[in-house]
Amino acid sequence: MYFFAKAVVCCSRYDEDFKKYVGMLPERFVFRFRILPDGASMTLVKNNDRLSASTGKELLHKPDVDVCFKNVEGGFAFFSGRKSFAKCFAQSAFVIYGDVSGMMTVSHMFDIVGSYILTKRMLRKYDRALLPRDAGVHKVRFLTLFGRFGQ
Amino acid sequence: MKNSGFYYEFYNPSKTVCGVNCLAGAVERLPRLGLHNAFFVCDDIDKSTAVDEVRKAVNAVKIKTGAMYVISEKAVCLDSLREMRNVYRVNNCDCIIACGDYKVINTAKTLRLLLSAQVARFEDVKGINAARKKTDIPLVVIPTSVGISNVMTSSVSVKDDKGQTFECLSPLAAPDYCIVDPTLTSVFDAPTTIAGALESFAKNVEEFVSKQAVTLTKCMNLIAIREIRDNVFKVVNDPMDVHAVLGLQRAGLLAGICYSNASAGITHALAGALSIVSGAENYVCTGIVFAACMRYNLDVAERDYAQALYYIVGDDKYAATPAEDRARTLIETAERLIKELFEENGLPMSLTQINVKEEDLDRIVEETMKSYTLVTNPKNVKKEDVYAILRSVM
Repeated sequence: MYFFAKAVVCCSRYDEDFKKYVGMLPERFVFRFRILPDGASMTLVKNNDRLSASTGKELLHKPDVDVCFKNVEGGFAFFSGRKSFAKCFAQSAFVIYGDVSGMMTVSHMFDIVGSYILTKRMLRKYDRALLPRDAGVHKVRFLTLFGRFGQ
Repeated sequence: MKNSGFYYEFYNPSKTVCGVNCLAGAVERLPRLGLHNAFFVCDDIDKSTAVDEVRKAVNAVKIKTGAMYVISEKAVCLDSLREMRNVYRVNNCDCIIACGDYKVINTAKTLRLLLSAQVARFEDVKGINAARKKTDIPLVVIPTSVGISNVMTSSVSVKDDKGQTFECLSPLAAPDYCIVDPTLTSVFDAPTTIAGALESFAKNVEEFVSKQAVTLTKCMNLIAIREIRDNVFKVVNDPMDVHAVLGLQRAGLLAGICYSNASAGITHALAGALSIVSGAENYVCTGIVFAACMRYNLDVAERDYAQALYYIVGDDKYAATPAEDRARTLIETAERLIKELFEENGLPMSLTQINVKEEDLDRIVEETMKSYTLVTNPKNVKKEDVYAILRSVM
């Protein structure tokens, strides 16, 4: 989850398609991932056209989209790239509360993140689409692994 | 440890009473739900005697008509919902009875959602699972059109003050009681039949191949497809054939139940977007894009399409079709049927005929990408794919 959050923030800085999706979200849009019953949590917030991430459980605002994985298995399958957001949704791995179009935008954004951080072989194996990538794959992967968290 | 391969969820909170002349027997059970003062939502009373029949039957079991609201506009708008909520409260109603077509049922479900959640603004219940039940408002729905599939769904769509359409998915939107009596289907013509049959056929096929489809929904979809095949031409030829009408209504109900559990796919998303942009009826848009969308999904849904063919063409033709051609045959059969029905009734068959121009495509694609049904489409949908589908039916 920690690395995934870094990858999302990194894509929001370098990928043009990703930036367009971020632009479609309203200002102060809050997106939260949780793993139930009392697991890890990740929050993405849009501020001044940029996404920032945090892993704290406390929230200052009510999330616009709240995704609650029902168990660790489901969360692990998503964050390790074995299942896409769509597949997790289809298999009822999580419960969603909140805005429908926001959820769809976030789903498209995660597909872009997947095509950066997963290898082509993994994308093929787990039935994921390889989307056009504007930024350098190695740059995004490097920043995902070694970049600063949350910005 | 839970194995996700065998895990699924299925939700349907509605009791369904379905049969010829079942109205009297069905409403007899309503007082046991604790209903005394009903709020009726219906469409144009002059066109249909169904509302009168329902009111008489309901009054006969000592449930009063607290208030009545006639729906005139095409889509639910917030102003009419606010007005209805006030009328409901002023008259101390304790349940909602909706009798009519798609728009009536959609409105009644939205009203129930707002009243059950006891919220002042629609924004508080908008989205997925946003509403929380605070009070129990029983909702009884009685469809009077053929094959409408929104009766049993847990979703509603509403136009806000700016004219934008929003979807709301919540278990509170599903009705408690559904009465399907084909003798109440009095407003009737061929395009109405085609509309209902086509919508439920497209929905059933999409739900069958959906990523979210599970064993229960798949069984229901196949039975519904067979019901449509057996009954659609009977109803077009003889609108008074109540058993055939009931068959189409059953197919619509099944499509609705499965939609809440398996969602749909790209046809639903694209038809909805086209309808918003062009203003054409949803079923016309579905007819235009359905075959193209099936072709788009063919490589990942080939096995399912081949299986569905059996329920469309029957034993002999299925057996005579080579296994590798079955999926393609299903698409060709569906395309031919839609073409025949649309040509006979003078309905548009391309985007240009519904006044969609090249410059409208961007907006249609944008609206399509917002629809949550894309998530459960068997293939990952990209913007370029939606452009390609639209250009193929220009």
